[in-house]
Amino acid sequence: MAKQDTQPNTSSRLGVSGLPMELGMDDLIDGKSDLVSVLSFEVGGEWYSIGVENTEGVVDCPKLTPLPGAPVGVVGLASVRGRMTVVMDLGLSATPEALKQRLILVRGDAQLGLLADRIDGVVGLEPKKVRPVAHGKDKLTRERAKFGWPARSYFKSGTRRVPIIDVERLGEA
Amino acid sequence: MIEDNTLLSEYLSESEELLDALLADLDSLAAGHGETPDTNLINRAFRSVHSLKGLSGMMGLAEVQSLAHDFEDILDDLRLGQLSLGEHTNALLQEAGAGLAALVGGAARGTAADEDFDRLRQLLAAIALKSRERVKKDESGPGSLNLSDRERALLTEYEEHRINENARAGRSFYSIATAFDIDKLDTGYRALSARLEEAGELITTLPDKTADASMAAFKFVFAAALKEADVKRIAQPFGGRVSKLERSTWRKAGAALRAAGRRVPGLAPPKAATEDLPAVLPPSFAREALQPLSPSVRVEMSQIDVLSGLAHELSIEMEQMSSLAEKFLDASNLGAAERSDLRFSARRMKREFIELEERLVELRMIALAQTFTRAARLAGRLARELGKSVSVEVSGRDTQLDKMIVDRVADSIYHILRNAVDHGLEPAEERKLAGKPARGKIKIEARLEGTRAVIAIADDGRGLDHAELRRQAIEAGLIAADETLTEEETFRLILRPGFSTADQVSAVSGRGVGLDAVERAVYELGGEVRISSEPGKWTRFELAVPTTLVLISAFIVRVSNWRYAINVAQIIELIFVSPAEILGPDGRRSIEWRGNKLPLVELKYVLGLGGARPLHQAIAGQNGDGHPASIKIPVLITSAADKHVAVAVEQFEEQREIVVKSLGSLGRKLKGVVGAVDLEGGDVALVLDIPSLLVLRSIRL
Repeated sequence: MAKQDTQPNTSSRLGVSGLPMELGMDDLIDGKSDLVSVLSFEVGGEWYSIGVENTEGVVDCPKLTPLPGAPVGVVGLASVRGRMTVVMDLGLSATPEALKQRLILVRGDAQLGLLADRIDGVVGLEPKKVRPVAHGKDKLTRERAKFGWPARSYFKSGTRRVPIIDVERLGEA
Repeated sequence: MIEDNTLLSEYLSESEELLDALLADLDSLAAGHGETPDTNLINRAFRSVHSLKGLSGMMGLAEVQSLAHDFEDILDDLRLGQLSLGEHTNALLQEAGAGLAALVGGAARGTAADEDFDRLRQLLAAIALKSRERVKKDESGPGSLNLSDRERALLTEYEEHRINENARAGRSFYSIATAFDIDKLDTGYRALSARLEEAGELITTLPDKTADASMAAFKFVFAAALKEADVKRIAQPFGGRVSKLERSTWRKAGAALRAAGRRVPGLAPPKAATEDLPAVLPPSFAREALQPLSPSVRVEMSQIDVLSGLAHELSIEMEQMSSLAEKFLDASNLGAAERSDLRFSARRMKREFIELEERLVELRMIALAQTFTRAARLAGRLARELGKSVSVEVSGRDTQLDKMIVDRVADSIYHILRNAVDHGLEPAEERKLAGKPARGKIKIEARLEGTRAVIAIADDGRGLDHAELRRQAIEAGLIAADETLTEEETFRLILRPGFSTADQVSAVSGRGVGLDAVERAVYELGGEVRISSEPGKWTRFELAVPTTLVLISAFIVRVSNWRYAINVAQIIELIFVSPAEILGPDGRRSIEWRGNKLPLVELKYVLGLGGARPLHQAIAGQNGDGHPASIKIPVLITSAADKHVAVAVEQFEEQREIVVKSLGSLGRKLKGVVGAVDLEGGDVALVLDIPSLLVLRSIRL
């Protein structure tokens, strides 16, 4: 899968790459309630997205401590802003560790963080563009179902389907 | 009288505890009979009365406050030796104590009569009268010690009195000069003080000079019936330089005193005043004092911790039992109904254990009501001192937090409030010019946010000025002149050490403690400080802290370059084992310990970090030491399911108090890991529950 296909449709973007995501995300979505805002990111050569309202910011990933007995997908524990964060890696294929430098903090009691190789930015989607994932219909979802694939919907960016992470499912992993 | 029922019951239970302690100490004093009363007892009684005074003052019970103040004066005279403690005085003190105890409940409920207060006041005045016959002070006392004038000036009246007393008892005086590393100041200071208190009397600690900024130097003034060599032996482990604080003339005077059997003119204690004082309290006082003030029972936090620990162990045992039961079920020929009964009751037990553990956590929780009420009162008082007018709005008083967290966060709340009143709110004229009402507004709120509580303190004052913050940060060298900062980053500058936005340090806020202390305190609890503001309009500080917290004493070990914390309550002994002492083949190793054969497992294997390599090879490789005979493997003895197990690690580090941070709802599902702790250098150590881990990994026991 070539990288160039993976760029989300730039015309619908609210944010741009390199936007200081640590702050002001609420401001970004304020007053644009018609649109669903998602943060899109790349990990392990795949694009994903997560609802902006489900995130608490993006930080540089601190040192990871291994967690014995952790479920598949959990790669360790990191201390972020005084809170212990359970770090998950959605990437199926191994990418060089050096790439996985950013950590998306997920809002909620699970104290989760998602590793990212690259943060693209915030995308504003019209609600009708958010489509449900038909389980088992395509290769991708079949593959992911093996470890409790945490997405129930996706949106299309060009020819590419970008899954929208379901935060509640992440917590069930 | 206290209107608020929550406050009333808290006041009653707190004051009851203080009064009980006071009465017990007065009883012990009376039982002592001695001419020289036990100073520790008097000091403790003084502290109880002093706390009661403070507590009552805070609740607006002026009558109790003033009576406690009179009482305090008497105890002060007593400890300064200005009042002698005869049998009669003792009886009067006990009566006064009982009178105070009898009055407190009535005063708090608003049912006490004015005459009752007056009677107690008369009694206290009568006792105080006796202290008019003061003991003439021994002028030669501290003056003859070879301390510098500056140091002598630092001595309190009480310390001078103790020097006199010790001199009279013929003890020697020593000065012990020592310096502690600032990081270790607490422990070092406490350890040396404790050693000195055991061996004699630590009169005072005076600050000393040192050239090294990372050290804090002290001079301990110490009195004991010890030889200089003995004192040196005590002080030596702390690097203390001992010198004797005595002149020959002093020694002569002391000897003369002893020879004269204390009957030296001017030094004799006053004759016990035995004039009869009327027993001014009616007998009904004693009866009322028998009524408990509060229906609640006070329990030490540590007791709850013990219960939690027991409940946890029970639940592990229970898990083991139920898995054993499953095995028996498979092998048995029980009917379907019995099988389902057994499973049902195992499930119910599990649920009930979880509930038990949750209830125990709840026991540690208290509402923020009292802290908020104090905070609101404090804000009002500060505003008055500064000539400002403020209205304080409080919400979320019912928010429940672990008592330890409330205690630790209280200082931070007060600190931010002080800042808000002092620097945040503008003077009335300035507010009028800005089109605001003259009266400032402060909001104190609490709300729950998942597993955290957010305590917010907001003021409608002048707000934070970005440009000014930036200018000052550049001036203070905290940021480079061309550094770009986001709005939040700019606000957060005020949390940096050495940053002060106040051009003038006022008496209220300028105590040399910056907001960095607030951030540190909150961070150590596993929380964060958030700041938002609109220049000219408002500032809001939020402290997000966990609602529950566990502080444990843990031992840190190292395995495969990672550090782990283990509750010391789970460790029976730390030993070193040489490879020759290990019995059995790899995978079924054991050692002899106190005459028993214990299975030996590697923590590394238990954690799934590596296979069962021969232990001594792993260690030898690390040390670069090829001589197996000299190798010592660190092993901790623990117990799981009532059996002892030896667990090998790679390195012992140290024991310390740690705040266990939660791993969140997902992390809670991990068996054998109860949380994590921040260590220096950005490291994180998992807090292991060794018995659960062993059970989880089906380690043969």
